[in-house]
Amino acid sequence: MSTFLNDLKYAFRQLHKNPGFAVVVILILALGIGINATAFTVVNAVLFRPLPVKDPQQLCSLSIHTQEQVYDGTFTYPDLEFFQDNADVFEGVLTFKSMSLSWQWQPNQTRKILAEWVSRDYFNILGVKTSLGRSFNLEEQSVPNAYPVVVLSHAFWSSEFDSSPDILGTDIIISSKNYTIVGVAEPGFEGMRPSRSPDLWLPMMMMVQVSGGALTRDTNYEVIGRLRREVSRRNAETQLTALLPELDKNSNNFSGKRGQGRVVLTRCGHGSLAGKDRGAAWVGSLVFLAVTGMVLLIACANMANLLLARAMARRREIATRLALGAGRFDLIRQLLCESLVLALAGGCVGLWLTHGAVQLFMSMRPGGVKLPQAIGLDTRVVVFTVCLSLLTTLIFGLIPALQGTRVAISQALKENQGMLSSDTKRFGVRNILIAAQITLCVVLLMMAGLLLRNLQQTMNIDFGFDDKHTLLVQLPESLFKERDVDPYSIHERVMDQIQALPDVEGASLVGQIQLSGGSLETTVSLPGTENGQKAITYYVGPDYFNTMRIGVKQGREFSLHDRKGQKNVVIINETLARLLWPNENPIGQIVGSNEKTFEVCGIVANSKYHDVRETPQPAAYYCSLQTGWAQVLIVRSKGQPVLLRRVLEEKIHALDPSVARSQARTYTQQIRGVLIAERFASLFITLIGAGGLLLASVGLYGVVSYMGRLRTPEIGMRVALGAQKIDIIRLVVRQAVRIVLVGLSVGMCLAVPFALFLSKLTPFELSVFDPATFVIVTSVLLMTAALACLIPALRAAKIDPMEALRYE
Amino acid sequence: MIKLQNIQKRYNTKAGFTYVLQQITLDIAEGEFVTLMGPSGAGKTTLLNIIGMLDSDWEGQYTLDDNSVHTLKPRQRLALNKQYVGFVFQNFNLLDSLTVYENLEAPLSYRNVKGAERASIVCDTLDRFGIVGKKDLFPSQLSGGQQQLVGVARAVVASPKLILADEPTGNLHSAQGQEVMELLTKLNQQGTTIIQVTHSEKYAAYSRRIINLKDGWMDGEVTPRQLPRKDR
Ligand SMILES: Nc1ncnc2c1ncn2[C@@H]1O[C@H](COP(=O)(O)OP(=O)(O)O)[C@@H](O)[C@H]1O
Ligand SMILES: [Mg+2]
Repeated sequence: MSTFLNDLKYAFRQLHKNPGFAVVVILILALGIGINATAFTVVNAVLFRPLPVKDPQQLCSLSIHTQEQVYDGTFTYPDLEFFQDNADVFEGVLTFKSMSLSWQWQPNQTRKILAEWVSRDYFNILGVKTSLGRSFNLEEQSVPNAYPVVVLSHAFWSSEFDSSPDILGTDIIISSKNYTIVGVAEPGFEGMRPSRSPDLWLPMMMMVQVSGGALTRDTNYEVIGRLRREVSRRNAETQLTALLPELDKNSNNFSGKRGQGRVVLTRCGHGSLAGKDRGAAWVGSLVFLAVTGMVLLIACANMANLLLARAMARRREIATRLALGAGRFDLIRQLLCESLVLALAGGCVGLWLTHGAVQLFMSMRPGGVKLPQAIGLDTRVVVFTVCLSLLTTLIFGLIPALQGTRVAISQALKENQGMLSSDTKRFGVRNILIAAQITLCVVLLMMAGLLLRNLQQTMNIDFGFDDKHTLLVQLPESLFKERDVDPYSIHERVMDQIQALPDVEGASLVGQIQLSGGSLETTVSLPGTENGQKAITYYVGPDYFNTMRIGVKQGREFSLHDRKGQKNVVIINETLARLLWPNENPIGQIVGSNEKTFEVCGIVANSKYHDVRETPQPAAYYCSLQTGWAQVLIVRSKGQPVLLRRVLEEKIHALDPSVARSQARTYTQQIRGVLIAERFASLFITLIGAGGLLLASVGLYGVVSYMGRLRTPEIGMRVALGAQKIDIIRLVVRQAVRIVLVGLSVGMCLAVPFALFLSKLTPFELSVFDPATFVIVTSVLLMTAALACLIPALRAAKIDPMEALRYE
Repeated sequence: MIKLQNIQKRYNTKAGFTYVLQQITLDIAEGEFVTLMGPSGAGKTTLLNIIGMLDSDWEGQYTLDDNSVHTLKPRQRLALNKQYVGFVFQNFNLLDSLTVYENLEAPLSYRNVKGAERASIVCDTLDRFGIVGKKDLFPSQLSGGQQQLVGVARAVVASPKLILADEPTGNLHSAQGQEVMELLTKLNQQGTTIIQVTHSEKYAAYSRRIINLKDGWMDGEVTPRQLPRKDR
């Protein structure tokens, strides 16, 4: 122990003697560690951080796996009630549904807020208390439509009501209806999905108010249960599976398919994502950490080089110690101790940087992604950082310690400058370290380049429709409030408003838009047969295909005559037509879907539906006038769509002035938004790659200037013998060029498998052999490297021969 | 104590082998005070490093008491060095980042001497060399003579049986040089074997035997004309 303390004391003294060196090392390390700790903080918040509820590890999300399909988050409200009544393995079962509603915060002024409808006992089951008032009582949660009450989130309460305790019992107007505030949730609680944290909670019994009968109609509820402590997850799954046949008897939506499935419980009390997103996030996180890990490696290689230079400068000291009887182990321990001090200092600064970066990140909300407020440093992040620091000590400290203590004592003792110019072997290690940095850099830059190319190519894909000159705007939800409102009347009201506008070339109302990031799927079956064809499904109004510029190949598109009460019609795309009727004319054929029959009235060209890169998919369009699902207005403008935007927003707002004004956006913006992951990934890797390049150039600069200094006498001699400046520059740069070329070619070779790996793991399809990217990355790297070499080379060329020769 | 037989040392240079030591055969008994002399480049330092076991790349036979050094591995030679040898360097080679006290402490800590004992030995030694007042200074804060005093003190602090001093007075002026020589003489009188390298006839006179080296060969041995006076 006392030797360790001694080592520590000397380590501090060494660093104190050379503060510039210490500062540079700590900063580089802090950067490397900081980037990684930041990445981990985000990953931690997304995947690992427990929700601030009672015993989060007991919370499980329920899904049913059958042979064909996984039912996850596709339950009905009666399903939920069934589990509430029958699932004894749970202490309680809950669900929630978030919805964007308008809040009238001042007379005649409304704003969008995020509300969460919650099922019976939501707060009790989660064990969440209120910091003011109470949560919902049993009555409020079981009688439909009777108790308009609301619980505010702590953040909403403090930002909008200045944390005033007087608001209890007062009313707020949400979606044109008064709700009484009965409580404020405890601070830190942001619902079950901190990535979509709600502003307030409403009892699910009031949901009918807003979306007319949605409670029983919707089939997209999650089921989350709190497992009893004494029941294992395995056991619970078995017991719940036994309930499935009965569950299916109760519901007619699934025609007995779920009865043969088995229940799978997934822990859901950690992180901020659920289900499929969580799986994707795992993969994303690993890639994310792998990329930031590369920067750490570059920083480590840099450090190792700096420390190696120092160890060489201290060769005489090391040799003296050896002559005094020190063992090699003693010296390695001493040097590692210095590295440790540096790494821990770097770790601390890195943690501080992380704190700042996270704050910045949260204030920026990249791409509108709302990060959980609870994101931030916790023990897990600190432990991660400390481990990282220890790891870096080993990586960057060990090489110089091993190399630096391998000294020919009798030689080193003779040296007066503490440097030996003929020691090429040790230079080998330094060169390898620099080449390794360049290699990693090239890999990072290639990834960045390929991702950017991918993004560019994706935006250039022909979507099969024309997104330019097209605007989208959401209709106020209040239009659909009344039960069984006739979609035709809404259609008329909307079209009245906008068709008169001079710049409008076409307009249509749709249920959901193509390339919105999600899609519905239904089965289209031929009459008399059991199995049909799965098809992506849209509910669109008249004039949709004209507005979207999707070609009608055969038959007609929907018209105002295709209303409720008329013959049900469907339009299919070419792929679905070919699948269903390879040899017949599809027009006029009858198909079944959702227990109804439809006549095919048109065939349209294929376009992109779910994903820009998808292969042609079968798709079916139903008429929204017959199905009543149309809340988005698509408008094609004659000129620039931005010019039409304001007017359009005005007109839509006029439909119901009491509701928050909807924002119109262009279709192109919408698609860009869908590609947010790509954009985020390319931006992120480009930034990281730039950081890596900076670090590697600093390393290269260091080595070249070190070589220059080392060869000062030689250069002086050459100048004295008549060498020109250019000869000296060539002399100094030659070795650097070799290192750079080696690093570059190894990096290019590694980039190929890495890109293949990346396109396997992520949804991004990278075209690995892209000459443009190769050329650009190579030139960027060479230019940076040239700059890093030239500065010290020019300095070397300025050496005064008399000065230099005095060193000999 | 030291028995060298046909020691040869050569370097591989571009021009082929160059021998820097040839057929060195030499006996040194315990308690002797020997001087190595010869022109620059004669191989004195090389020989001293071989005797001190810092250099292990040579041919011939070297017996130190009962140890056949030539059969030992480099690691074992360093262990033997630890056990026997204290070095005094021409250019002092004090550790810049350590204080005088810590410089003296270093050899002891490498020999696993316990803390309390270490402190008492270091204090004794500081006292013996009259540098107690300087114990918290760094080498850069000392004069050349003082530095070499510390260098000698550091060489003896672990009570070596053999002190090897490579031009210990080379960088000192005469008064300081004399002081160092007197120190060495005193140590020799207390029983420590000493081998020194010097260019000065005057300092050579402190020893009992002078061995001349020339171009790596032994070039005769003389006894100093003038023996140091007993009362010194
Ligand atoms: N690394 C080396 N390579 C080749 N020759 C060397 C090397 N080190 C020392 N020498 C040669 O060994 C000879 C003896 O050196 P040294 O023992 O230091 O002489 P001195 O008697 O001045 O102490 C010198 O001629 C020197 O040139
Ligand atoms: Mg010499």
